[in-house]
Amino acid sequence: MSINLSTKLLRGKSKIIALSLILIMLSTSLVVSILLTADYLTYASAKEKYLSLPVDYYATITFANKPYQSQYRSIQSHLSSVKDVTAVHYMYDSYLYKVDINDTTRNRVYRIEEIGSIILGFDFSDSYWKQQIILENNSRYPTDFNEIILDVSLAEWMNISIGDKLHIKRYDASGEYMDNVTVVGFFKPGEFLSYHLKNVEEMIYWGVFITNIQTAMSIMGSLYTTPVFQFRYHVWVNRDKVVNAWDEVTTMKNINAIQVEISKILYGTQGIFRVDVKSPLRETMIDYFKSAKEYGSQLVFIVVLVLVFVALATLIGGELSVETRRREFGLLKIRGSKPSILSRIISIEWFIIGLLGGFLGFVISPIIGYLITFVVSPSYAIEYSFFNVVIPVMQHYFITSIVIGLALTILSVILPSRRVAQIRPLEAIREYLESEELSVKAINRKVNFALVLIGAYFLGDFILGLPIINDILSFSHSSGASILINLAEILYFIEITIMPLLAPFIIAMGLVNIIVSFSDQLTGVFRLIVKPLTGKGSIVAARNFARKPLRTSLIIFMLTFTIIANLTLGSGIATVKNHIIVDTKMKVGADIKVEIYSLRPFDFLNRTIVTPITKYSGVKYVTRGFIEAFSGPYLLGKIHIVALDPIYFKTDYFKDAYLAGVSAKDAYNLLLDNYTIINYAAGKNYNLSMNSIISIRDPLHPSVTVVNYKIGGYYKFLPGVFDNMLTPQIGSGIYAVVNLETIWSILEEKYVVVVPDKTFLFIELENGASAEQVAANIRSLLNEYQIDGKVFVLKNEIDRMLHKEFSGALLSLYETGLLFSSTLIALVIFVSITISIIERRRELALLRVRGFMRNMVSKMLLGEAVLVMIVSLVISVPLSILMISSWVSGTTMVLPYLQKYLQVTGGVVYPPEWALFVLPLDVISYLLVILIIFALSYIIPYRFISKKPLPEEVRIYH
Amino acid sequence: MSSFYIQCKDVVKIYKAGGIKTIALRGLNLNIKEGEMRAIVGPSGSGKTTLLNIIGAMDKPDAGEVIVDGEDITKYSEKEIHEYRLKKVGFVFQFFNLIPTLTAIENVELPMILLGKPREERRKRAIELLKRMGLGDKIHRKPGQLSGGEQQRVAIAVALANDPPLILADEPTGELDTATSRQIALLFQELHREMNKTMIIVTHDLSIAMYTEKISRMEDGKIIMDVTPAEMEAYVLSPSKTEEIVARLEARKRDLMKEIAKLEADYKSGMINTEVFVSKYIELKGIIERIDEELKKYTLT
Repeated sequence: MSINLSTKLLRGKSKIIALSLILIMLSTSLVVSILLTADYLTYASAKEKYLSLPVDYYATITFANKPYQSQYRSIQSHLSSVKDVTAVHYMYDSYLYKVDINDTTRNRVYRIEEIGSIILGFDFSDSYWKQQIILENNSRYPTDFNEIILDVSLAEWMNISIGDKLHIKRYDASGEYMDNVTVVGFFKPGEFLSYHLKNVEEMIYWGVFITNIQTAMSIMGSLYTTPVFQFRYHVWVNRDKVVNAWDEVTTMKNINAIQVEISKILYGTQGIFRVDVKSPLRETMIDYFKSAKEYGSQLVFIVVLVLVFVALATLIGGELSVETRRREFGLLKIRGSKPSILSRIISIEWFIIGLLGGFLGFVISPIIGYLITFVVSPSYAIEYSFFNVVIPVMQHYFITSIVIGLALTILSVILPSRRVAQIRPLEAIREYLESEELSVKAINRKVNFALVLIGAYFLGDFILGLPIINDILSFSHSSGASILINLAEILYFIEITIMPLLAPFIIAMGLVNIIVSFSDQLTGVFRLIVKPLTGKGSIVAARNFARKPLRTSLIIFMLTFTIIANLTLGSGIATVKNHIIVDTKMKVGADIKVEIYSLRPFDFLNRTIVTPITKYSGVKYVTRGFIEAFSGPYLLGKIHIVALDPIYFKTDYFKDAYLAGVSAKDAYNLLLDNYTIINYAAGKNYNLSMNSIISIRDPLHPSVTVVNYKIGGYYKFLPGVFDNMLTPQIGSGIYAVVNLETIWSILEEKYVVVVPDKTFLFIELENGASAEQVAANIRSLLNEYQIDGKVFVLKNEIDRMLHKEFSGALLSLYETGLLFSSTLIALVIFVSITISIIERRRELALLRVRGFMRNMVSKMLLGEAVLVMIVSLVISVPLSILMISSWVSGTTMVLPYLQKYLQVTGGVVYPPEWALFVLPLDVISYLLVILIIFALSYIIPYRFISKKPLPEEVRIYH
Repeated sequence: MSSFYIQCKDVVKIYKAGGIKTIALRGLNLNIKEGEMRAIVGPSGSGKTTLLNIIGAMDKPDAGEVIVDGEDITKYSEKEIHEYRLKKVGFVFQFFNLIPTLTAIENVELPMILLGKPREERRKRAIELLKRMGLGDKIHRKPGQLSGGEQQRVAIAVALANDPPLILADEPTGELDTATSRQIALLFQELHREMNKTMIIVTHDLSIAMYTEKISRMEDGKIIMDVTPAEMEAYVLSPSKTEEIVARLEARKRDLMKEIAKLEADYKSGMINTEVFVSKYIELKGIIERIDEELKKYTLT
């Protein structure tokens, strides 16, 4: 009977059904779409990670004796037969120690023992290697015996040409060995070879000699004392098949199985002296799953946050659905319906809506997810079709969608079904009396006071550093009672995990209800607040504050929740962003930074590349710099010279605040006058006062003083010079800034050989100049002069760091989750207030009959809105500040990345831009929009209904 | 200068709803002297409330003049209408007369606040008025905490707050039981005598109309007779007239019953939705109730 009645009743309620359905559908789809987006991003980031790997597995095997060709080829063929392995390539790889290269053509000898060198032998019939070795002009692969190709920078350094004959002369304990080779070309390492040299060998070699396997084995074969016949096998697998982004167990099982098979083959081969199997794929995937879990917990937080938003929204929806139909339910009661039947009708209606809403939400979630990825996804993500990725996993969320839809409707139904049972039929039909259950007496003050106290305890204890809970823990442990210990542990867990987030909301909920329950007593205060806006209508506006206490509480709480959530999370995100931006600025130090890795790092000092760069359009300043460790006085150990062009202190990136005791202008002049400016921390550590002298000594001959500098000032930060902006503070050494031009001429004059730790150029641009364009020009210039260098564009670096630190699109997901759910709340607030105003149309018309003008009524309604907003702000802003401070001072497990950044700085000096927390301007402007929508939702509906004839409005029944 | 305080000349009012035109007033003429207490009676839909709304400047006629205290209120600007409602007219409605969130005294004070009266003065007057209405001990109660009769007394106090010369009451006893209705009618009569206000009371209840000085009967948007209560009594008691009225009322009731039956059938068959059903049902039931009450008076006599 109830079902029949429900469907019949629903038939005539198209607006309510549509509203409720849209609400549930949007809520469900919002949650599911966030999950789908996360899936998609997970997939994309997993794929990005394993696609960027230059090799899946590599195995290094060392033969005790010179191997036969059949031996290493057989290993290759066995490895290829392992399941899911797609390709196996091998190379010969050995180190060359103590090598002299004798250029017989020019009769010159180069000793590269300090740097180390490597000889690689390839099977050039494997085309794969040809892709990895990029040949220079007129070069060819060294396919014949005793042919060799050289790293282009090594060749340039040695001034070697194609066709030159070299003697490679090696020494070891047993004597000298010599091989004669012919240079047939020069190469640049391709992607894999660079990776191999940097990651696999874990060293950077100056000299890389590439030849065929036979030649390499012949060269190394003359060294009988060391078993150096090393072959490296590089194994590629079908990654898409092996890696399942959503399934750690299967992925790791596949990866481990392959590794076991590889090991079995290698260990089972005869004549092998040592085996070392490594799996970049495995390591990458372990890292990936670890971070995915971490982000997963944050994702759960986002989803919970969104769910709380939508639950609040549906609470209002449920409340409205009954309010707008009071008359209908009253009539049903008059006609004999029992309260239980009415409650059942409501429940069935909402069950149908929940089921349908959940299903529709499920259906549209990929579309919303697709839209979200457009907003949040990093560039790599859109390379894969969203729908192709998510459709196969959607089935997992079907039940989730239905459960969310139904859970939300159950939540929506609890209050309404109780209220329906309490409806007084006559009042409901006539609707001119305020129902008893709607009076403020319905609010239980004691319960709400208790809520405030509970919330205050959790928040307070957290902010103070958990003294109370620690006492409770100690007490419980000292008592020895396991039940007390367990309870205390549980309380502790709750307190440090969820309560830093929940406590402010618990307090807010209690406060809202208490304020609403005291609304009669507070009328005088409310009148004073709204009077400037409403004028004579202040009494009505003030009294209307708690007209429908439950709804007022809900609306204030929703607004409060939105403000707290936006301000705190927004502030957290803005702070972390600020920290990353400042950090990156301090690391890059200019619009563009160029780091030079070439064997000829000082080329730029001679202005070969600096002069052209200064001529590029938009370039304002080019500053040169290098760091080199020199010997210093005995007690001071090494002194690092930071040689800079004095103009460095005049760029926009340098601020007076980065110095101590001197201004940037002074620093510029001091450098010109050959003073040095040292790091503040070193000044303190070594008690180096102004005008003290530090002497720089030759690194190879520490007794020889190269130059003496007088200390002219101290610096706290040197943007762009160090990898970590804190280095000069926490490092114990001296980093002395000196004039680059002067120190360079002194070094040349005194024949001091230096290999700088770092060499760089800082480029500051005119406003509006294109950094990308200038960077591209610099890259081609470096290419032209064959200088190995890297160009960092500040803007791109900031984007990259933000992306890296926020693990893909998590930050955007936070922001989008907040934006979507806040929008949903704004929508619900708008609808609910619109309905409230429409409900009050007769009363508003009556005010006009009593002498109110239309504008006065509008102002009065605005006054009501402002009152609600003020109460919300009064509650939410202090709570938000407390919440942020609890995050800053405490250790919440909820937001690990916030924790990472929002720490007390522990005495370390940070640049002034590195604020402890940042007020999120974008969030504030967004909140302002919500507040404006809120205010408009009072006025717009009234402007519409006030156009209707007054008599009609006064006599209207509903 | 006319000796009448209110003069309605050839007033026409046409409503248009859903493409259907309804003529509410058809060239109505009405003259009311200053300080007169006038009842306007007539069946539902005869145009009583429309007339009252027009005199109260809540509505504008499509034709004709409405002169109150020598001024044609149909030509008033929005500001003048506001002033007129605030200073010259006090309204009492059938129900929902009060702002539910304000207490009784605040409701009475509200029109005085709008007029800018000082706090002390308005408080004093509000208390006086509420005491006069017999509510001295309930001044801080909200409408929801008062009975229907008490609410209506507060509403009368609200109407009198700014001491307007004209009181307009639209079915002031429509929601009250017979005993309370009589008390309210008596209260109107006493107030009229004490304060010498011009009062127009729209009612379908002849027994209430009998408390006034003159009764105008409206039918189909026109005043068909102006009589004194004594004349009305004689008229009602005339058997031929009574039979005619009763026959007309019963015929109308039968039509309404048929309409309800059809409405229920339509609802059951799903042709109309709950919202339409409920509002139409309540409307029709309300009209039948009022016909029944009117019939009772004739059958009792």
